[in-house]
Parts: sequence; C-alpha cells; structure tokens
Amino acid sequence: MNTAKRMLFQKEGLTYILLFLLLSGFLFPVYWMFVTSLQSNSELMKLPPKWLPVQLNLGSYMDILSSSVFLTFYKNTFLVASGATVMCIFVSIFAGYALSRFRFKGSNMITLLLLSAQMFPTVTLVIGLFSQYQKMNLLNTLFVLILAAASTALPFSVMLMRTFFNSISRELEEAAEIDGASRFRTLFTVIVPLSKPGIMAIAIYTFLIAWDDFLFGLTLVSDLDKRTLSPGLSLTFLGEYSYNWSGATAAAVTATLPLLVAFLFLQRYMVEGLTAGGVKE
Amino acid sequence: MVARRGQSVEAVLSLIKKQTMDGVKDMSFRLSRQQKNMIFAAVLLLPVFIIMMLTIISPLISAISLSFSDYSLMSPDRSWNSFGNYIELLRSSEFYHSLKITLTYVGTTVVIDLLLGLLMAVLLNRNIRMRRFLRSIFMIPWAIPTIVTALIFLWIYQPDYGVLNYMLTSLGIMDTNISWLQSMDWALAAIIVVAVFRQTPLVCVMLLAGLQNISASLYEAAKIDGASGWKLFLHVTLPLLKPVISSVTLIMIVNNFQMFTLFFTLTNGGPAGSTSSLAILTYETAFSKYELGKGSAIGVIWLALLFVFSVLFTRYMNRNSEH
Repeated sequence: MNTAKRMLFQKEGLTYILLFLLLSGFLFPVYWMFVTSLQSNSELMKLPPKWLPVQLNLGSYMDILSSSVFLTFYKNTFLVASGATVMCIFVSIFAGYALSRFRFKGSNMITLLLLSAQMFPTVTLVIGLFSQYQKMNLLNTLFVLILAAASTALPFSVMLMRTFFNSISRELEEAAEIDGASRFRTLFTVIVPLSKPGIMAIAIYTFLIAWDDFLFGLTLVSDLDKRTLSPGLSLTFLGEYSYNWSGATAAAVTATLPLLVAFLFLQRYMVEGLTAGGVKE
Repeated sequence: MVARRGQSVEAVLSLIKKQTMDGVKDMSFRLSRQQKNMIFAAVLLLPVFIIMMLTIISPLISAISLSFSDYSLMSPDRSWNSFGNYIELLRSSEFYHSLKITLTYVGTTVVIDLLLGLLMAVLLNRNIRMRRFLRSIFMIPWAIPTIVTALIFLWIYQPDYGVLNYMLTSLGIMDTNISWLQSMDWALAAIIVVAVFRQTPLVCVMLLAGLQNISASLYEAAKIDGASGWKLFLHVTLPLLKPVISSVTLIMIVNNFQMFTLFFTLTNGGPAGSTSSLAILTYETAFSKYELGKGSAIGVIWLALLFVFSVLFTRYMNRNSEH
C-alpha cells in the first residue's frame, strides 16, 4: 500500500513538473512581449536583460496610441474582421441549414467544393484574385479583404453549422409549419435561437481568422489608409524600425489584446465548436 | 405573305405567352412540398455559392489560365505559351529546392506539433488541480496573431540583445552568439520553433476533446485485465484516438503547406534561399518579379501535389480504420 501510494505521488509529481516545463516554454514568449513593451529601448540594449519590468515605461504605448497610421491600421482591421464575421455568420447559417435539412444532387457537390477549398494554396488564389480584382477595379478596398477573409472561414463554419443543425430536432420546424410560419421565419425565430453556441463559435473563429490575415492584406491592398494590422506591422516595424523593439512589442500587445480578451471569455464556445465541426466531421 | 407570317408569329408568341402564364399560375398552386423545399434550399445556398465562385473558383480558373501564359505586370500578354512556364520550372533547380524545404518544414513541424500536443493533452486530461484554468492558459499562444508571434520571436532571436543567446551563453551551452535567422544551419529550425509554439495548443485542444470522448469504462475494463500505464496508453488510448489524430494530422499538414506569414516575416526566404518555401517562391515570382504567369504555374503544380496527397492520405486512413 505504501509503495503504491508513493508511486502515485511520484506519478502526480511528474505530471506537475512536465506541465510546469511546458507551460513556461509556451508562455514565456508571451510574457516576454509584455515585459519588453514596458521598457525603453535604451534599457533593452543592456545585458543582462531585466526579467521583471522594474521601471514601468509606458512611452511606447503613448507613441503607438497617438500614431495616426497605427490607429488607421487598427480601425481597418476591426472593420474587416467585423464585416467578415457578420457575412460569415449569415452565409453559414443559410448554407448549413440547407445542407442539414435537404438532400439533393447539388448538395454533395457543394460539400465537396467547401472541403477541397480549404486545401487550395492561398498564394495561388491570391494571384488569381489580384489579376481579377485589378480588372474589376476592386484592389485597395476593404470590401475585397472582407470577402477574402469570410471565404477563408466559410468551409469550416458551414460544416460546423450543419453538424449543429443536425442535432436540432425537425419536429420543431414541423410544429412551426403547422402554425403557418414561413420557412425563413421558422429558421430565424425557432432554429437560430437554439444555435447560439454554434454561432458564437463561428463568430470567434471568423474574427480570429480575419484578424490574423496577412497575405490578402499584403497583396490586395497597397494604399496606406486601407492597410490592415498584420501587413502594417510587418512593413512598418519589421522593416525600417527594427531597432525599436519597445515600440514594436507595444504595437504587438495592442494588436493582440482584443483577441486575447475575447478568447479568454468566449473560449468555451470555441472549444465546443472546434470539437463539433473540426474533429467529428 | 410577309405580313401574314408576321401575324402568325405574333399569334404563336401570344399563345406561348398565355400558356406559360397559365403554367406559372398553375405552378404556384401545384408546387409540391418537395419542389418548394428545393427552391428554399437553392435560395439558402445561393450566397455561399456566389462567394465561393468569386473568391475560390474564378481566381483558381484565372490562375490556371495565367499559368499557361507569359503574363506579367510589365507585359500583359495572355497568349498561350505551350507549357513554357511548366517546362522552365521543372527544369530549374529552385522549384525542387523549395519543394524540399517545404516538405522538411511540414514534416518536422507536424510531427513535433503532434507529439507535444499529445503529451499536453494527456497531462491536461489527468485529474489535476486547477485543470480548467490550466487548460485555458495553455491555449493562449493560439489566440495571438501569427504576425505578433513572428515579431516576438524576432526579438527573442535577436543576435546581440535577444534573450535566447543570452540564456544559452550564460548557461555555458554556447560560447558565442548565433544569428539564428541569418544562419544557413539554423534559420529553418528557428522558423519551425515559432510554428510549433503557435500550433501546438490547437492540436492539444482537438486531441483533448478526443480523449474526453473515450469512455472511462473502457479503461476500467482494461485495468481489470491487468493493463496499466504505458500498456493502457498504447492499447486503449492510442487506437481510440486514431480518427482524431488522423484528422488533426491532415489539418496541420494542409495548413503548414500554406504557411507564408512566418517565412515572409522571419527570413523572407533567406539566408541564400535556405528557407525559400513554395509559398515564398510563388509570392516572390508573382509579386516581386511580377511574373504572374510563372507564379501561377508554381501554384498549380503545388495544388496538384496537395490534392494527390490528401486523396491518398484520406484513402489510407479510411482503409486502416476499416480493419
């Protein structure tokens, strides 16, 4: 009994040690970003590095938040991410519902199209999009970025909504139909309210994808006032200002905070959604 | 004669019109439930169809058609060049070089992702203290934008003041500082570390969900049969987790094949082309040299490879799970 207890204790100890090691490895870079952003550049150029932010220096945050270029990038990213999220929610509800409730010849084709779309290399698509939008005079608009981000998130979102709708009983619709409600009304007043967790999951997913977009923003937009955060950060801070690490990390923290906050609060939906749509499918 | 023919045509037309009008009227009454459903479904699917057309199908077709021409921003000549781009590519060494780098990157990254993710998932599935808290903390790297991840690691890898060189030299592991991202030997490994940092949490969450689906009674049964520890893991956990592992593997392979952001921001293909992945080669060709035709050709070959791979992978996994 004693040896068994000791073994159990050792095993538990090992679990915590491994978890601690993994946790420090995976969280140190995040911590380091925060610490760096709170120090001035002259302090960053001294060794040994300061492991704790002893003297708080908010100068870099002041600079970032008063830089009109950065705020423009921020605003554009926010517009693109929100636009793509709204678009993706509506389109996925429609398509997911149709694929869940009706069986017809085209439905398999659409599913196949959606699934294979995830595999197409974005760089290849971008060349096609570039030459196409150039002809249509749509380059340098936030609309193309919204469209591109929404379509990146669509395959997964549609599949997730389909799985979600599959779990909702059809009797509800039949009851509503007997009451004389139109199909659209039934969808929005009966089915959609029951699918909130699924909708939350695709909303966070799309928002994260759109916020993370780099390639579309880099290639389809070249005007400074239409630029989004990722290409903006890359072209501004990784290029000419590469000595300004305090400023770069302050910008990075500012660009991450909304995501981090949203993620920590809404994580439950995200995890549920990922497991429902990504793994079981 | 002419007039009469004109009249008759008019008469026929009006007859057709009347009939179709009646038909439409009839239809609105006689549409079966089935037909109404089909129309409703078609309306619901219209938006997704239009978006996919605009952003996937038509650019894909235009990229494929560009790949057969010498089209560039300098000379917008879209005429057929009889496989010129493809022949040039398959004869040049840069394409194979990029393919090799991409495969090395994808292979290494996905294997490390899976091993670390599985370890993490198993640990977080144990009955530990603060389990919920730990689970959400571990997910943080995944909520950080890729570009921010790149930026953090650029600073960590910085040759003179970066914390990595400082730690390694002060621990006595190295004598001199290494310029990680400017080194032919280290650049690709340095990129892989960043990719693993951001991707492992996602892998962990998906595997964790799979682990939670395994019912406890199976473990009980195996324990009664005398299995424990490693045996339990190898003979109960792994086989039951296999479908999840295979779909996670496919997702990670496809995603990493596409990886552009990290390569572009960390090394931009350098030093001396040692991290020039397919994504970088395509981008450079199309948007730095403005040879959109040749760039598309790389993209098309790449697409074909990816397609063949995922068909084979899915078939292999399905066959295995049948046994």
